[in-house]
Amino acid sequence: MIIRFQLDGTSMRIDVEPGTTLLEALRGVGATSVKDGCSHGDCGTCAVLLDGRAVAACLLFAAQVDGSSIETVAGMAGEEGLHPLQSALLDAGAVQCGFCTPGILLTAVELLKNNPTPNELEVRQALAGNLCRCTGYVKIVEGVLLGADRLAGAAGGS
Amino acid sequence: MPLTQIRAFHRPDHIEGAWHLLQEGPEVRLVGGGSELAIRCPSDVRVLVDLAHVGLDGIEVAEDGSIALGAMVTLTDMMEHPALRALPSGVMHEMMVHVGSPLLRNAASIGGHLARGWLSDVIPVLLVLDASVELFDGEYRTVTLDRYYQEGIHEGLHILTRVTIPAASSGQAAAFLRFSRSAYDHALANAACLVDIDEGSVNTARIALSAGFRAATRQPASESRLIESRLTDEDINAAVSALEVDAHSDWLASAEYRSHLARTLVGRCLHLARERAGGGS
Repeated sequence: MIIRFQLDGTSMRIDVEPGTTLLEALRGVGATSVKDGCSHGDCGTCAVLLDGRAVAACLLFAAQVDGSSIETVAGMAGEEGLHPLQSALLDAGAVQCGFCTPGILLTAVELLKNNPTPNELEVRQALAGNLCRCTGYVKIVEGVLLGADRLAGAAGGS
Repeated sequence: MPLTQIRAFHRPDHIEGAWHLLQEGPEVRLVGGGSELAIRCPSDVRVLVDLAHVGLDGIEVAEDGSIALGAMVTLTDMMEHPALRALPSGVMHEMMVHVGSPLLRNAASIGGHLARGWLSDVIPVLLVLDASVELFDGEYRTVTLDRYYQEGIHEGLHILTRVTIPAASSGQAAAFLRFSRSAYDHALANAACLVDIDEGSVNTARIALSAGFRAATRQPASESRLIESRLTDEDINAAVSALEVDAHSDWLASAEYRSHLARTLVGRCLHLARERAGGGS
């Protein structure tokens, strides 16, 4: 079946089997920043923004996103460089193996869109579905809070 | 690997179309939010019917204060909507933060969640809020959520189209508690309660608990112990003693353990609700 959607601003038209998951479809068109961790909705490495909401791509059928907009981490950086949240995670030492980082970034993007000044608990609650086996989360939480500060500063200065 | 057994994925734009497809046989399955079917699709399912386009995605607050939720409303929508946040003691939000993760709540629909009918923290809270569900099986009908599970209606062929939560009164206080082995795990037991206290006397009491995989149940014998009581420690103990806990053993916990948990949680819920209602300790 044919489905159409926006992928990081690019119009896509792809042919998928009816039982294809969104994760399989995205990786099938080369969007390999969307990681396949557990395939069961537990780890969050396959998180994408679906019409602005962070969802686990492994739990959705590709056919469900027909007509929607998908954002991945590959679309976060702009011409001027990394997204402030990406830079913040790097500066905070929140990236080790990096496998969970795309999902964490996208989940954090949604959090900061709805709550630009979260506290630590709110960050931890937002990231409850994103597992990291390397960092112990401390640096990740610090990175998201640092990114929030930078984004708020940029917004305040503009 | 794709679910190669799936032959067709339909996206009807009206409820009658979805119902027509659903009647074609047991190999047809409805897709709600899609938080589970992709990973636990029964092997005999061949056809999927997506309910995303049949107009079940709104939250409406009526003049009388009741709240109607379309079946495709997500659990995140329920966490964020002001009318649902304003329910007694903020119990909806208190419970919902424990349901999966934001990634799951952003996709999971309330209709799909209730139609599944097991391993749910949402069900006990909706039971004590006295929610009802609207079903479509060729025509619309409404049943209480309690009947929906107690009479096995949820296992029959139907489309759950709407959930309605009646208006709350200002004297109501509620609480929800759960126990799980880890924060992200399903609850071994959970409980919710709601009391309406007028001049120190309880005039409405609702208790619901689950001690396993099955949907939570109301506890009428315990509730009746609380009516016209002052909700003292003795009244709460009497209500807990009257609980009828349907617990079962599995690899996670024994029935005895789950039963003990459920009774403890109900007692704590009632103490919490009393405190929230402004009562003494």
